[in-house]
Amino acid sequence: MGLLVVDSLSKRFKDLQVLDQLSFEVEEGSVFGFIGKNGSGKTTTMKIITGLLKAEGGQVYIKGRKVEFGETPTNHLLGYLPDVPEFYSFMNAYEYLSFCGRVTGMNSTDIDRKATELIALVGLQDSAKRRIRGYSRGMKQRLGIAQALVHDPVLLICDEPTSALDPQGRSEILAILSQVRERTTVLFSTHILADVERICDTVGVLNDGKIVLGGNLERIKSTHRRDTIALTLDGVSLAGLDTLATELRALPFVERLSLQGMAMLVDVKSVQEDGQQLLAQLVEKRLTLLSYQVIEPTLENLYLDVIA
Amino acid sequence: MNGFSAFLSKELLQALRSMRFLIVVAAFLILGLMNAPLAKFTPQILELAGVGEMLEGLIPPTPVAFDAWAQFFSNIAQMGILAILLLCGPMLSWEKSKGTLVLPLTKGLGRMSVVLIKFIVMTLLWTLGLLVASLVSWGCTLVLFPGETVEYLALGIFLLWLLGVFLLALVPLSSVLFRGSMSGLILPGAVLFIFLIALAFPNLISWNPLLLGQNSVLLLIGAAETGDFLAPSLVAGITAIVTLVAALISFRKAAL
Repeated sequence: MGLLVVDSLSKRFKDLQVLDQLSFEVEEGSVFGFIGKNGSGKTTTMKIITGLLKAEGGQVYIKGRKVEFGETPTNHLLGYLPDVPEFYSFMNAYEYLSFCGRVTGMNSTDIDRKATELIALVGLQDSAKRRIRGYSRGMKQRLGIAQALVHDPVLLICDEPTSALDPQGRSEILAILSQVRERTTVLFSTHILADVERICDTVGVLNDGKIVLGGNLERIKSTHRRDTIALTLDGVSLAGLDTLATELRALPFVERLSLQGMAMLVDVKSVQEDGQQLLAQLVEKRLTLLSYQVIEPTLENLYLDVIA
Repeated sequence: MNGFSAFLSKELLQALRSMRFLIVVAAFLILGLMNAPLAKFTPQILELAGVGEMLEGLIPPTPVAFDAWAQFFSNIAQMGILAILLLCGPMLSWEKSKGTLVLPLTKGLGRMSVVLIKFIVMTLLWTLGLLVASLVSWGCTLVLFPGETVEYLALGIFLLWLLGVFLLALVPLSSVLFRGSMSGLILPGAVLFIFLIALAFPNLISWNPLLLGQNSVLLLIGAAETGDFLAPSLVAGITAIVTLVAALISFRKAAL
Protein backbone atom coordinates (compact mmCIF):
# COMPACT_ATOMS: atom_id res chain seq x y z
CA MET A 1 0.00 0.00 0.00
CA GLY A 2 1.33 3.43 -0.94
CA LEU A 3 1.98 6.20 1.56
CA LEU A 4 -0.81 8.16 -0.10
CA VAL A 5 -3.72 6.27 -1.60
CA VAL A 6 -6.34 8.14 -3.58
CA ASP A 7 -9.19 5.78 -4.29
CA SER A 8 -12.05 6.49 -6.72
CA LEU A 9 -12.33 10.18 -5.87
CA SER A 10 -15.21 12.09 -7.45
CA LYS A 11 -15.94 15.79 -7.29
CA ARG A 12 -18.36 17.94 -9.23
CA PHE A 13 -18.71 21.72 -9.30
CA LYS A 14 -22.21 22.44 -10.62
CA ASP A 15 -22.21 20.97 -14.15
CA LEU A 16 -18.50 20.29 -14.27
CA GLN A 17 -17.26 16.83 -13.28
CA VAL A 18 -13.77 17.78 -12.08
CA LEU A 19 -12.72 14.40 -10.67
CA ASP A 20 -14.16 11.21 -12.06
CA GLN A 21 -13.26 8.10 -10.03
CA LEU A 22 -9.70 9.36 -9.70
CA SER A 23 -7.29 6.78 -8.29
CA PHE A 24 -3.54 6.80 -7.81
CA GLU A 25 -0.92 5.96 -5.21
CA VAL A 26 2.25 7.70 -4.09
CA GLU A 27 4.98 5.41 -2.77
CA GLU A 28 7.04 6.34 0.27
CA GLY A 29 10.30 8.09 -0.64
CA SER A 30 9.21 9.11 -4.12
CA VAL A 31 8.79 12.51 -5.73
CA PHE A 32 5.46 12.30 -7.51
CA GLY A 33 4.77 14.76 -10.32
CA PHE A 34 1.04 15.43 -10.51
CA ILE A 35 0.63 16.78 -14.02
CA GLY A 36 -2.36 18.40 -15.63
CA LYS A 37 -3.38 21.48 -17.50
CA ASN A 38 -4.86 24.47 -15.66
CA GLY A 39 -8.32 23.62 -14.33
CA SER A 40 -7.80 19.88 -14.62
CA GLY A 41 -8.50 19.28 -10.90
CA LYS A 42 -5.03 19.17 -9.36
CA THR A 43 -5.81 21.76 -6.68
CA THR A 44 -9.21 20.17 -6.01
CA THR A 45 -7.49 16.81 -5.43
CA MET A 46 -4.96 18.37 -3.07
CA LYS A 47 -7.65 20.20 -1.13
CA ILE A 48 -9.51 16.91 -0.66
CA ILE A 49 -6.27 15.23 0.51
CA THR A 50 -5.80 18.00 3.09
CA GLY A 51 -9.44 17.85 4.25
CA LEU A 52 -10.22 21.36 3.04
CA LEU A 53 -12.78 20.20 0.48
CA LYS A 54 -15.40 17.47 0.52
CA ALA A 55 -15.40 14.76 -2.12
CA GLU A 56 -18.68 13.37 -3.39
CA GLY A 57 -17.26 9.88 -3.60
CA GLY A 58 -14.13 7.89 -2.89
CA GLN A 59 -11.56 7.91 -0.11
CA VAL A 60 -8.07 9.13 0.59
CA TYR A 61 -5.63 7.39 2.94
CA ILE A 62 -2.35 8.73 4.27
CA LYS A 63 -0.17 6.06 5.87
CA GLY A 64 -3.24 3.86 6.05
CA ARG A 65 -5.32 6.47 7.91
CA LYS A 66 -8.47 7.77 6.30
CA VAL A 67 -8.67 11.48 5.51
CA GLU A 68 -11.83 13.10 6.89
CA PHE A 69 -13.39 16.27 5.50
CA GLY A 70 -12.85 19.25 7.81
CA GLU A 71 -10.81 18.59 10.90
CA THR A 72 -8.78 15.48 10.12
CA PRO A 73 -6.09 13.79 12.22
CA THR A 74 -4.15 12.96 9.04
CA ASN A 75 -3.12 16.62 8.77
CA HIS A 76 -0.47 15.97 11.41
CA LEU A 77 1.24 13.74 8.85
CA LEU A 78 1.49 16.23 6.04
CA GLY A 79 3.01 19.52 5.07
CA TYR A 80 1.05 21.56 2.56
CA LEU A 81 2.13 24.39 0.31
CA PRO A 82 -0.83 25.87 -1.62
CA ASP A 83 -0.32 27.58 -4.97
CA VAL A 84 -0.55 31.03 -3.36
CA PRO A 85 0.40 30.61 0.29
CA GLU A 86 -1.00 33.28 2.60
CA PHE A 87 0.92 34.07 5.78
CA TYR A 88 0.40 36.36 8.74
CA SER A 89 2.22 39.29 7.23
CA PHE A 90 2.66 41.03 10.60
CA MET A 91 5.08 38.26 11.60
CA ASN A 92 8.60 37.65 10.38
CA ALA A 93 9.73 34.31 8.93
CA TYR A 94 11.18 33.11 12.21
CA GLU A 95 8.03 33.99 14.14
CA TYR A 96 5.85 32.30 11.54
CA LEU A 97 7.86 29.07 11.65
CA SER A 98 7.74 29.16 15.46
CA PHE A 99 3.96 29.61 15.30
CA CYS A 100 3.67 26.62 12.94
CA GLY A 101 5.88 24.54 15.23
CA ARG A 102 3.73 25.40 18.25
CA VAL A 103 0.56 24.52 16.33
CA THR A 104 1.96 21.03 15.71
CA GLY A 105 2.85 20.64 19.38
CA MET A 106 6.66 20.90 19.13
CA ASN A 107 8.63 22.09 22.17
CA SER A 108 10.52 25.38 22.08
CA THR A 109 14.00 23.80 21.77
CA ASP A 110 12.94 21.77 18.73
CA ILE A 111 11.16 24.76 17.24
CA ASP A 112 14.25 26.93 17.57
CA ARG A 113 16.52 24.29 16.04
CA LYS A 114 14.12 23.47 13.22
CA ALA A 115 13.32 27.10 12.34
CA THR A 116 17.03 27.98 12.12
CA GLU A 117 17.74 24.88 10.01
CA LEU A 118 14.83 25.48 7.61
CA ILE A 119 15.52 29.19 7.20
CA ALA A 120 19.03 28.19 6.10
CA LEU A 121 17.68 25.44 3.81
CA VAL A 122 15.42 27.86 1.93
CA GLY A 123 17.99 30.67 1.97
CA LEU A 124 16.05 33.24 3.99
CA GLN A 125 18.77 33.94 6.59
CA ASP A 126 19.09 37.60 5.62
CA SER A 127 15.35 38.25 5.75
CA ALA A 128 14.32 36.00 8.64
CA LYS A 129 13.71 38.96 10.97
CA ARG A 130 11.91 41.07 8.37
CA ARG A 131 8.11 41.21 8.34
CA ILE A 132 6.61 38.85 5.73
CA ARG A 133 4.56 41.70 4.20
CA GLY A 134 7.76 42.90 2.48
CA TYR A 135 8.57 39.51 0.91
CA SER A 136 8.63 38.86 -2.84
CA ARG A 137 6.62 36.00 -4.32
CA GLY A 138 9.69 33.80 -4.55
CA MET A 139 10.57 34.45 -0.90
CA LYS A 140 7.02 33.57 0.11
CA GLN A 141 7.26 30.27 -1.79
CA ARG A 142 10.52 29.49 -0.03
CA LEU A 143 8.98 30.30 3.34
CA GLY A 144 6.02 28.16 2.24
CA ILE A 145 8.30 25.15 1.82
CA ALA A 146 9.95 25.85 5.17
CA GLN A 147 6.63 26.01 7.02
CA ALA A 148 5.48 22.81 5.34
CA LEU A 149 8.56 20.97 6.63
CA VAL A 150 8.70 22.37 10.15
CA HIS A 151 7.17 19.28 11.80
CA ASP A 152 8.99 16.70 9.63
CA PRO A 153 5.87 15.56 7.75
CA VAL A 154 5.80 12.14 6.10
CA LEU A 155 4.25 13.71 3.01
CA LEU A 156 4.92 17.13 1.50
CA ILE A 157 2.20 18.38 -0.84
CA CYS A 158 3.12 21.30 -3.10
CA ASP A 159 0.51 22.83 -5.36
CA GLU A 160 2.17 24.43 -8.39
CA PRO A 161 5.07 25.82 -6.36
CA THR A 162 6.93 27.13 -9.41
CA SER A 163 4.13 28.31 -11.69
CA ALA A 164 4.10 31.98 -10.75
CA LEU A 165 7.86 32.40 -10.44
CA ASP A 166 10.53 33.79 -12.76
CA PRO A 167 13.16 31.32 -14.11
CA GLN A 168 15.56 32.03 -11.25
CA GLY A 169 12.86 31.64 -8.60
CA ARG A 170 11.71 28.41 -10.27
CA SER A 171 15.20 27.03 -10.30
CA GLU A 172 15.69 27.86 -6.61
CA ILE A 173 12.45 26.16 -5.58
CA LEU A 174 13.30 23.06 -7.62
CA ALA A 175 16.74 22.93 -6.02
CA ILE A 176 15.14 23.08 -2.56
CA LEU A 177 12.62 20.36 -3.46
CA SER A 178 15.45 18.18 -4.75
CA GLN A 179 17.13 18.47 -1.35
CA VAL A 180 13.86 17.82 0.46
CA ARG A 181 13.40 14.45 -1.26
CA GLU A 182 16.03 13.07 1.13
CA ARG A 183 13.72 13.71 4.10
CA THR A 184 10.16 13.13 2.91
CA THR A 185 7.86 11.92 0.19
CA VAL A 186 6.80 14.71 -2.15
CA LEU A 187 3.61 15.18 -4.16
CA PHE A 188 4.18 18.06 -6.51
CA SER A 189 1.58 19.39 -8.92
CA THR A 190 2.50 21.37 -11.99
CA HIS A 191 1.80 22.00 -15.62
CA ILE A 192 5.48 22.71 -16.31
CA LEU A 193 6.81 19.43 -17.65
CA ALA A 194 10.46 20.46 -17.53
CA ASP A 195 10.14 20.80 -13.74
CA VAL A 196 8.75 17.28 -13.48
CA GLU A 197 11.56 15.83 -15.59
CA ARG A 198 14.05 17.62 -13.36
CA ILE A 199 12.97 16.33 -9.96
CA CYS A 200 10.24 13.68 -10.16
CA ASP A 201 10.72 9.93 -10.32
CA THR A 202 7.04 9.03 -10.66
CA VAL A 203 4.23 10.86 -12.42
CA GLY A 204 0.49 10.89 -12.84
CA VAL A 205 -1.11 12.79 -15.70
CA LEU A 206 -4.59 14.05 -14.82
CA ASN A 207 -7.01 14.59 -17.67
CA ASP A 208 -10.80 14.62 -17.66
CA GLY A 209 -10.77 13.81 -13.96
CA LYS A 210 -8.74 10.63 -14.31
CA ILE A 211 -5.10 9.55 -14.38
CA VAL A 212 -4.45 8.86 -18.06
CA LEU A 213 -0.75 8.11 -17.71
CA GLY A 214 1.01 7.14 -14.51
CA GLY A 215 3.93 5.31 -12.96
CA ASN A 216 7.70 5.43 -12.85
CA LEU A 217 8.92 8.12 -15.24
CA GLU A 218 11.84 6.11 -16.65
CA ARG A 219 9.64 3.06 -17.13
CA ILE A 220 7.00 5.14 -18.90
CA LYS A 221 9.60 6.60 -21.20
CA SER A 222 11.05 3.21 -21.99
CA THR A 223 7.59 1.73 -22.63
CA HIS A 224 6.75 4.57 -24.95
CA ARG A 225 10.12 4.66 -26.70
CA ARG A 226 9.46 4.67 -30.43
CA ASP A 227 12.92 3.69 -31.73
CA THR A 228 13.44 6.79 -33.77
CA ILE A 229 16.81 7.63 -35.33
CA ALA A 230 17.67 11.20 -36.38
CA LEU A 231 20.19 11.48 -39.21
CA THR A 232 21.95 14.42 -40.85
CA LEU A 233 24.06 13.93 -43.98
CA ASP A 234 26.84 15.92 -45.54
CA GLY A 235 26.70 17.28 -49.09
CA VAL A 236 23.13 16.21 -49.90
CA SER A 237 20.77 18.77 -51.43
CA LEU A 238 17.11 19.07 -50.44
CA ALA A 239 16.10 17.34 -53.70
CA GLY A 240 18.67 14.59 -53.08
CA LEU A 241 17.30 14.16 -49.56
CA ASP A 242 13.77 13.67 -50.97
CA THR A 243 15.02 11.00 -53.37
CA LEU A 244 16.94 9.25 -50.60
CA ALA A 245 13.88 9.38 -48.35
CA THR A 246 11.77 7.66 -51.02
CA GLU A 247 14.40 4.92 -51.41
CA LEU A 248 14.72 4.36 -47.65
CA ARG A 249 10.93 4.23 -47.14
CA ALA A 250 10.88 1.22 -49.41
CA LEU A 251 13.13 -0.75 -47.04
CA PRO A 252 11.24 -3.36 -45.02
CA PHE A 253 12.58 -2.34 -41.59
CA VAL A 254 11.67 1.37 -41.98
CA GLU A 255 8.27 1.97 -40.42
CA ARG A 256 8.05 5.70 -40.96
CA LEU A 257 10.32 8.40 -42.28
CA SER A 258 9.94 12.17 -42.11
CA LEU A 259 12.11 15.15 -42.95
CA GLN A 260 12.64 18.05 -40.56
CA GLY A 261 14.72 20.60 -42.48
CA MET A 262 17.92 18.81 -43.36
CA ALA A 263 17.39 16.15 -40.70
CA MET A 264 15.82 12.79 -41.41
CA LEU A 265 13.74 11.07 -38.70
CA VAL A 266 13.51 7.33 -39.24
CA ASP A 267 11.21 5.12 -37.15
CA VAL A 268 12.45 1.53 -37.11
CA LYS A 269 11.34 -1.65 -35.36
CA SER A 270 14.54 -1.96 -33.33
CA VAL A 271 17.24 0.63 -33.02
CA GLN A 272 19.89 -2.03 -32.26
CA GLU A 273 19.30 -4.31 -35.25
CA ASP A 274 17.77 -2.03 -37.85
CA GLY A 275 20.13 0.84 -37.07
CA GLN A 276 23.04 -1.28 -38.37
CA GLN A 277 21.20 -2.02 -41.60
CA LEU A 278 20.32 1.63 -42.05
CA LEU A 279 23.97 2.62 -41.62
CA ALA A 280 25.00 -0.08 -44.11
CA GLN A 281 22.60 1.39 -46.68
CA LEU A 282 24.11 4.85 -46.23
CA VAL A 283 27.68 3.49 -46.58
CA GLU A 284 26.65 1.63 -49.70
CA LYS A 285 25.37 4.88 -51.20
CA ARG A 286 28.70 6.54 -50.26
CA LEU A 287 26.98 9.16 -48.14
CA THR A 288 28.84 10.96 -45.33
CA LEU A 289 27.06 10.93 -42.00
CA LEU A 290 27.20 14.15 -39.95
CA SER A 291 25.13 12.90 -37.03
CA TYR A 292 23.34 9.75 -35.88
CA GLN A 293 21.16 10.05 -32.79
CA VAL A 294 18.62 7.77 -31.13
CA ILE A 295 15.71 9.98 -30.05
CA GLU A 296 14.44 9.54 -26.47
CA PRO A 297 10.75 10.23 -25.88
CA THR A 298 10.19 13.43 -23.86
CA LEU A 299 7.52 13.85 -21.22
CA GLU A 300 6.09 16.61 -23.36
CA ASN A 301 5.58 14.20 -26.28
CA LEU A 302 4.01 11.63 -24.00
CA TYR A 303 1.79 14.22 -22.33
CA LEU A 304 0.56 15.58 -25.63
CA ASP A 305 -0.07 12.03 -26.86
CA VAL A 306 -2.21 11.05 -23.85
CA ILE A 307 -4.27 14.20 -23.55
CA ALA A 308 -4.87 14.47 -27.29
CA MET B 1 -8.23 21.86 20.86
CA ASN B 2 -4.86 21.49 19.12
CA GLY B 3 -2.75 24.63 18.91
CA PHE B 4 -4.97 26.63 21.28
CA SER B 5 -2.17 28.54 23.00
CA ALA B 6 -0.22 29.04 19.74
CA PHE B 7 -3.25 30.55 18.02
CA LEU B 8 -4.16 32.66 21.06
CA SER B 9 -0.61 34.11 21.14
CA LYS B 10 -0.88 34.83 17.43
CA GLU B 11 -4.20 36.65 17.91
CA LEU B 12 -2.86 38.78 20.74
CA LEU B 13 0.29 39.64 18.77
CA GLN B 14 -1.87 40.51 15.77
CA ALA B 15 -4.15 42.74 17.88
CA LEU B 16 -1.05 44.50 19.17
CA ARG B 17 0.75 44.91 15.84
CA SER B 18 -2.32 45.74 13.78
CA MET B 19 -3.07 48.51 16.31
CA ARG B 20 -6.40 46.91 17.24
CA PHE B 21 -5.62 47.29 20.95
CA LEU B 22 -4.55 50.87 20.45
CA ILE B 23 -7.61 51.75 18.36
CA VAL B 24 -9.96 50.27 20.98
CA VAL B 25 -8.25 52.13 23.81
CA ALA B 26 -8.19 55.42 21.86
CA ALA B 27 -11.80 55.18 20.65
CA PHE B 28 -13.24 54.26 24.03
CA LEU B 29 -11.06 56.83 25.77
CA ILE B 30 -12.73 59.51 23.65
CA LEU B 31 -16.17 57.99 24.28
CA GLY B 32 -15.49 58.00 28.01
CA LEU B 33 -14.03 61.49 28.09
CA MET B 34 -16.84 63.38 26.39
CA ASN B 35 -19.82 62.46 28.61
CA ALA B 36 -19.29 64.38 31.83
CA PRO B 37 -18.03 67.62 30.20
CA LEU B 38 -20.88 67.51 27.68
CA ALA B 39 -23.46 67.02 30.42
CA LYS B 40 -21.90 69.68 32.60
CA PHE B 41 -21.46 72.37 29.97
CA THR B 42 -24.37 71.76 27.59
CA PRO B 43 -26.55 74.51 29.16
CA GLN B 44 -23.72 77.03 28.84
CA ILE B 45 -22.92 75.91 25.28
CA LEU B 46 -26.55 76.30 24.27
CA GLU B 47 -26.69 79.66 25.99
CA LEU B 48 -23.63 80.83 24.08
CA ALA B 49 -25.09 79.51 20.83
CA GLY B 50 -28.20 81.56 21.50
CA VAL B 51 -30.63 78.63 21.46
CA GLY B 52 -30.90 78.28 25.23
CA GLU B 53 -34.35 79.86 25.41
CA MET B 54 -35.69 77.75 22.55
CA LEU B 55 -34.72 74.55 24.33
CA GLU B 56 -35.83 75.66 27.77
CA GLY B 57 -37.51 72.81 29.54
CA LEU B 58 -35.80 70.19 27.37
CA ILE B 59 -32.34 70.60 28.84
CA PRO B 60 -32.05 70.52 32.63
CA PRO B 61 -30.73 73.87 33.85
CA THR B 62 -28.59 72.25 36.51
CA PRO B 63 -27.03 69.06 35.22
CA VAL B 64 -26.32 66.18 37.60
CA ALA B 65 -24.07 63.11 37.52
CA PHE B 66 -26.91 61.05 36.09
CA ASP B 67 -26.90 63.25 32.96
CA ALA B 68 -23.24 62.35 32.40
CA TRP B 69 -23.99 58.63 32.79
CA ALA B 70 -27.05 58.90 30.55
CA GLN B 71 -24.74 60.34 27.90
CA PHE B 72 -22.26 57.51 28.55
CA PHE B 73 -24.83 54.73 28.16
CA SER B 74 -26.21 56.30 25.01
CA ASN B 75 -22.74 56.70 23.46
CA ILE B 76 -21.51 53.22 24.30
CA ALA B 77 -24.76 51.48 23.31
CA GLN B 78 -24.59 53.13 19.89
CA MET B 79 -21.14 54.32 18.84
CA GLY B 80 -19.20 52.01 21.13
CA ILE B 81 -20.95 48.85 20.00
CA LEU B 82 -20.81 49.95 16.36
CA ALA B 83 -17.05 50.58 16.67
CA ILE B 84 -16.33 47.23 18.27
CA LEU B 85 -18.46 45.39 15.70
CA LEU B 86 -16.70 47.11 12.80
CA LEU B 87 -13.32 46.35 14.33
CA CYS B 88 -14.01 42.71 15.30
CA GLY B 89 -16.59 41.70 12.67
CA PRO B 90 -14.02 40.85 9.97
CA MET B 91 -11.58 39.04 12.31
CA LEU B 92 -12.56 35.53 11.22
CA SER B 93 -14.19 36.21 7.85
CA TRP B 94 -11.12 38.09 6.61
CA GLU B 95 -8.84 35.19 7.52
CA LYS B 96 -11.25 32.75 5.92
CA SER B 97 -11.50 34.65 2.67
CA LYS B 98 -7.79 35.53 2.45
CA GLY B 99 -6.70 31.94 3.13
CA THR B 100 -4.36 32.58 6.08
CA LEU B 101 -6.02 29.78 8.05
CA VAL B 102 -5.18 27.15 5.43
CA LEU B 103 -1.57 26.64 6.53
CA PRO B 104 -2.19 26.29 10.29
CA LEU B 105 -5.35 24.19 9.77
CA THR B 106 -3.54 21.77 7.45
CA LYS B 107 -0.94 21.41 10.20
CA GLY B 108 -3.56 20.19 12.61
CA LEU B 109 -4.73 23.41 14.29
CA GLY B 110 -8.11 22.56 15.84
CA ARG B 111 -11.00 24.32 14.17
CA MET B 112 -12.75 24.68 17.53
CA SER B 113 -9.70 26.54 18.81
CA VAL B 114 -9.98 29.04 15.95
CA VAL B 115 -13.64 29.87 16.66
CA LEU B 116 -13.24 30.00 20.43
CA ILE B 117 -10.10 32.14 20.34
CA LYS B 118 -11.61 34.60 17.89
CA PHE B 119 -14.59 35.00 20.25
CA ILE B 120 -12.34 35.28 23.31
CA VAL B 121 -10.18 37.99 21.72
CA MET B 122 -13.23 39.91 20.46
CA THR B 123 -14.72 39.79 23.96
CA LEU B 124 -11.38 40.83 25.41
CA LEU B 125 -11.21 43.90 23.14
CA TRP B 126 -14.81 44.84 23.99
CA THR B 127 -14.18 44.38 27.72
CA LEU B 128 -11.01 46.46 27.51
CA GLY B 129 -12.80 49.24 25.62
CA LEU B 130 -15.75 49.29 28.00
CA LEU B 131 -13.44 49.27 31.00
CA VAL B 132 -11.41 52.20 29.65
CA ALA B 133 -14.53 54.23 28.83
CA SER B 134 -16.16 53.44 32.20
CA LEU B 135 -13.09 54.34 34.24
CA VAL B 136 -12.50 57.58 32.35
CA SER B 137 -16.16 58.51 32.55
CA TRP B 138 -16.21 57.69 36.27
CA GLY B 139 -13.11 59.88 36.82
CA CYS B 140 -14.53 62.82 34.85
CA THR B 141 -17.90 62.56 36.63
CA LEU B 142 -16.15 62.49 39.98
CA VAL B 143 -14.27 65.69 39.10
CA LEU B 144 -17.14 67.59 37.48
CA PHE B 145 -19.93 66.36 39.77
CA PRO B 146 -18.17 65.87 43.09
CA GLY B 147 -20.04 64.05 45.79
CA GLU B 148 -22.85 62.86 43.49
CA THR B 149 -23.51 59.13 43.15
CA VAL B 150 -25.78 56.97 41.04
CA GLU B 151 -27.26 53.57 41.87
CA TYR B 152 -26.60 50.26 40.10
CA LEU B 153 -23.80 51.71 37.96
CA ALA B 154 -21.79 48.47 37.85
CA LEU B 155 -24.89 46.44 36.97
CA GLY B 156 -25.81 48.91 34.22
CA ILE B 157 -22.31 48.63 32.71
CA PHE B 158 -22.48 44.84 32.99
CA LEU B 159 -25.75 44.84 31.02
CA LEU B 160 -24.10 46.97 28.33
CA TRP B 161 -21.22 44.48 28.27
CA LEU B 162 -23.67 41.60 27.89
CA LEU B 163 -25.29 43.33 24.91
CA GLY B 164 -21.88 43.65 23.25
CA VAL B 165 -20.98 40.02 23.96
CA PHE B 166 -24.35 38.90 22.56
CA LEU B 167 -23.69 40.74 19.26
CA LEU B 168 -20.03 39.61 19.07
CA ALA B 169 -21.07 35.99 19.60
CA LEU B 170 -22.95 36.20 16.30
CA VAL B 171 -19.74 37.11 14.42
CA PRO B 172 -18.15 33.61 14.22
CA LEU B 173 -21.31 31.94 12.91
CA SER B 174 -21.81 34.75 10.42
CA SER B 175 -18.21 34.36 9.23
CA VAL B 176 -18.66 30.60 8.78
CA LEU B 177 -22.06 30.75 7.03
CA PHE B 178 -21.37 33.59 4.60
CA ARG B 179 -18.57 34.33 2.16
CA GLY B 180 -16.52 37.49 1.91
CA SER B 181 -14.02 39.32 4.05
CA MET B 182 -16.72 41.36 5.85
CA SER B 183 -19.22 38.51 6.17
CA GLY B 184 -18.78 38.45 9.95
CA LEU B 185 -20.93 41.58 10.11
CA ILE B 186 -23.95 40.16 8.25
CA LEU B 187 -25.58 38.23 11.08
CA PRO B 188 -24.98 40.84 13.83
CA GLY B 189 -26.31 43.50 11.44
CA ALA B 190 -29.40 41.46 10.60
CA VAL B 191 -30.09 40.56 14.24
CA LEU B 192 -29.67 44.18 15.29
CA PHE B 193 -32.13 45.23 12.58
CA ILE B 194 -34.69 42.59 13.58
CA PHE B 195 -34.54 43.50 17.27
CA LEU B 196 -34.79 47.22 16.42
CA ILE B 197 -38.01 46.50 14.53
CA ALA B 198 -39.16 44.26 17.39
CA LEU B 199 -38.96 47.26 19.72
CA ALA B 200 -42.17 48.42 18.01
CA PHE B 201 -44.10 45.39 19.34
CA PRO B 202 -45.16 46.08 22.96
CA ASN B 203 -45.85 42.43 23.85
CA LEU B 204 -42.31 41.39 22.82
CA ILE B 205 -40.45 44.35 24.22
CA SER B 206 -39.69 42.90 27.64
CA TRP B 207 -37.62 40.12 25.98
CA ASN B 208 -35.71 42.35 23.59
CA PRO B 209 -31.92 42.22 24.26
CA LEU B 210 -31.57 45.77 22.94
CA LEU B 211 -33.12 46.91 26.24
CA LEU B 212 -29.75 46.06 27.77
CA GLY B 213 -28.31 49.05 25.96
CA GLN B 214 -31.25 51.39 25.75
CA ASN B 215 -32.83 51.03 29.17
CA SER B 216 -30.08 49.98 31.53
CA VAL B 217 -29.43 53.66 32.29
CA LEU B 218 -32.90 53.79 33.87
CA LEU B 219 -31.58 51.58 36.67
CA LEU B 220 -29.35 54.45 37.73
CA ILE B 221 -32.28 56.68 38.70
CA GLY B 222 -34.53 53.89 39.85
CA ALA B 223 -36.83 54.19 36.82
CA ALA B 224 -36.30 50.48 36.10
CA GLU B 225 -35.89 47.47 38.33
CA THR B 226 -33.17 44.86 38.10
CA GLY B 227 -35.80 42.20 37.38
CA ASP B 228 -36.77 44.04 34.19
CA PHE B 229 -33.47 42.98 32.67
CA LEU B 230 -33.69 39.27 33.45
CA ALA B 231 -35.61 38.27 30.32
CA PRO B 232 -33.48 40.28 27.83
CA SER B 233 -30.33 39.01 29.57
CA LEU B 234 -31.54 35.42 29.20
CA VAL B 235 -32.34 35.95 25.51
CA ALA B 236 -28.91 37.51 24.94
CA GLY B 237 -27.04 34.86 26.92
CA ILE B 238 -28.85 31.85 25.44
CA THR B 239 -28.61 33.21 21.88
CA ALA B 240 -24.88 33.85 22.36
CA ILE B 241 -24.28 30.29 23.57
CA VAL B 242 -26.42 28.70 20.86
CA THR B 243 -24.82 30.68 18.02
CA LEU B 244 -21.33 29.97 19.34
CA VAL B 245 -22.03 26.24 19.50
CA ALA B 246 -23.52 26.42 15.98
CA ALA B 247 -20.36 28.18 14.78
CA LEU B 248 -18.15 25.52 16.41
CA ILE B 249 -20.09 22.71 14.77
CA SER B 250 -20.39 24.26 11.33
CA PHE B 251 -16.75 25.38 11.15
CA ARG B 252 -15.58 21.81 11.82
CA LYS B 253 -17.04 20.84 8.47
CA ALA B 254 -16.57 24.05 6.50
CA ALA B 255 -14.86 23.94 3.10
CA LEU B 256 -11.91 26.32 2.89
